Order: sequence, then structure tokens, then C-alpha cells
Amino acid sequence: MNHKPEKLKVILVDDMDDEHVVFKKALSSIEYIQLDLISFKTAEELEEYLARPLGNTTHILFLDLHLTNKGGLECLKKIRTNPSYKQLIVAIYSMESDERTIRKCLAEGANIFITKPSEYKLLQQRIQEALRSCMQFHTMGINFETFVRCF
Amino acid sequence: MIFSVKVDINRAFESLLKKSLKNFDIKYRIGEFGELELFTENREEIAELENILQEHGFKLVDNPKERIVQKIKNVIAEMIEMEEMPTSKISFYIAERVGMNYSYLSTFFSEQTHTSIENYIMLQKVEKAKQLLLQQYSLTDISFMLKYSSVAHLSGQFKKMTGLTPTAFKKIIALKRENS
Repeated sequence: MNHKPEKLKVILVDDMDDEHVVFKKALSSIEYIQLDLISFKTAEELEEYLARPLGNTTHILFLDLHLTNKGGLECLKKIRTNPSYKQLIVAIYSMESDERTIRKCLAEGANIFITKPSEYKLLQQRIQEALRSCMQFHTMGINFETFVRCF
Repeated sequence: MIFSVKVDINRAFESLLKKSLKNFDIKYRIGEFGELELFTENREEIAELENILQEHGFKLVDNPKERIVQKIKNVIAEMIEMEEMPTSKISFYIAERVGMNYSYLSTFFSEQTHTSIENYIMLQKVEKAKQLLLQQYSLTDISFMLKYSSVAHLSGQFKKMTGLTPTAFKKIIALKRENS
């Protein structure tokens, strides 16, 4: 049986400063769990971070699909080849909402796809829902392979 | 060859327990809905047994609050696996099986898990629907098996809980399996 994590570490990779602010705000209004945010601007920084073991803390990774240099999808593929990160919850987000893109990201191993709305209140809401489904995954005995969700 | 495995969780647990208890002199009783009573106060022995069980994916919960939550979850899991849905209303059914007032259970469950019982049932049913979809059951069969009032109702709840249609979900998992 799965167990409720004590705290959740949120890793964010986005090259835009604005997005970092949006995430910080979205996370600050969540009270039911202790959250830590670690943010990076490039895929390379993330890879460096992931080169060390994450320990026992539960993590969720938010990846921008359109990172400069290396895109989010390429980054995701690389993460999934590492056996330690086969079960890391990954959420990809993008302005795009076409079915092909969404399907591709989920098929490559993303658990969550968020279509970024232009209104930022709505984006915050979706981030919070994504976190909630991440928590549900850990407390409700949900199968990892079929844990795919789209907002 | 590819098989689907159907698990009788209670039997699996009992047989593992019997095997694990061979080395201990502990009397036990297995109750309804995954309740286990150990007739011993020897903490060391219990801890040792706990370790063995945990290796096999079973966790002993002794915190009273968690125990109630686990009991509710077990009743729901059993209900979803049943061939026939209970004839009484679900809330009555759960209250009766757990042996506590429903409005109390409902508040308690939400406090402990940050989800309502209703939402939890919906989520577990969709989880089960995912499994059945991948075993190639049709939507009509699944809606019947999980007691949805119609295929539209099943698809609607599936979409609500996953953001995907059942068909899109199947396609994605098939692609995912090809990729890995």
C-alpha cells in the first residue's frame, strides 16, 4: 500500500523568469503538504541535479516543452533511460493543445500534460490540480504505467 | 505468451502470513477487510514479521486513524471487484460494513486523505476501468461491470478523472509500451 509523503519536492525547468514566479505563487497557496521548489533554467542544469541520487523525498518534475537548446521531450526521454528515474512523476507543459503533441509526450513517459492557458490564474489552478493528482498517486494505490493525465 | 493476472488479495495475504509465521510462535486471526489480529505483545517479533510482510508489499497499519481509513479503502476495493453491486445505497453499505455512522466516516475520510469518499470511489473505478480497457474489454462491458448507468456516463467520468477519452488513453498506453 502506498503512503502519504511528508513533503513534496517540486523541480521546475523553464527558461522564462515569469514562469518561475507563477509556479512560486501557485505553490504558496497549497497548505495540505509541505512543498519545496527547486528551479532551473536549462535542461543541462536539471541533468546535473539529477546526476546525484534524489534520496527518499517524493519529487515531481515540471518541464517546459519548449526549452531552448534541448527541448523538454528530449530531456524527458533521457530521464526515462535512467533506471532510478523510471518512476519519477513528470509533468510537461506547453501552450500547445493539439492531440498529437499531447499523445507524444504521454507516450514518451510523461505522466501529466498541461496545456498552458493564457490566463495565469487558470494556469495556477492547473498546476495545483497536477500536484493534487501527484499526491493522489502516492496515497491511493494508482498504477504508475497507466498514470497519464491531461489538463 | 501474455497473461492477465487476477489476484485474490486475501488469499495471497493469508498464504504469505502462514509461511512467514512458521518461524514465530504467534497466534493470529484474520478478520474481514484485511484486519489482522496478532495475539502477542512482543514488539520485536511483530517488527520482524512486519519486515517480511513489507518485502511482499503488505504493510501493517496500527495507527487507529489510519486503520479506519484503510478499512474504508478495503471495503471499497472489495465492492469494486464484486460481481453484483450492493443493493443498498453505497453510503449505507460502507457504514454498515465498517460499523460506523456514514456522516462521521465521510468527514473523517476527507480530513485524513484530502479527498471525499465519493471522489475516492470514482478514482478507484476509473483505475479499474483502465485495467479493463487494456485487457481489451469493450466500453459496454466495462460500464456494465463497474455499474455505470451508461457508456456515456463511464466515458464522462473517465474524461473527468484523466483528461482523456478512453480511446485516447488506450492509444497512449499502447504507444508507451512500444517505446519502452
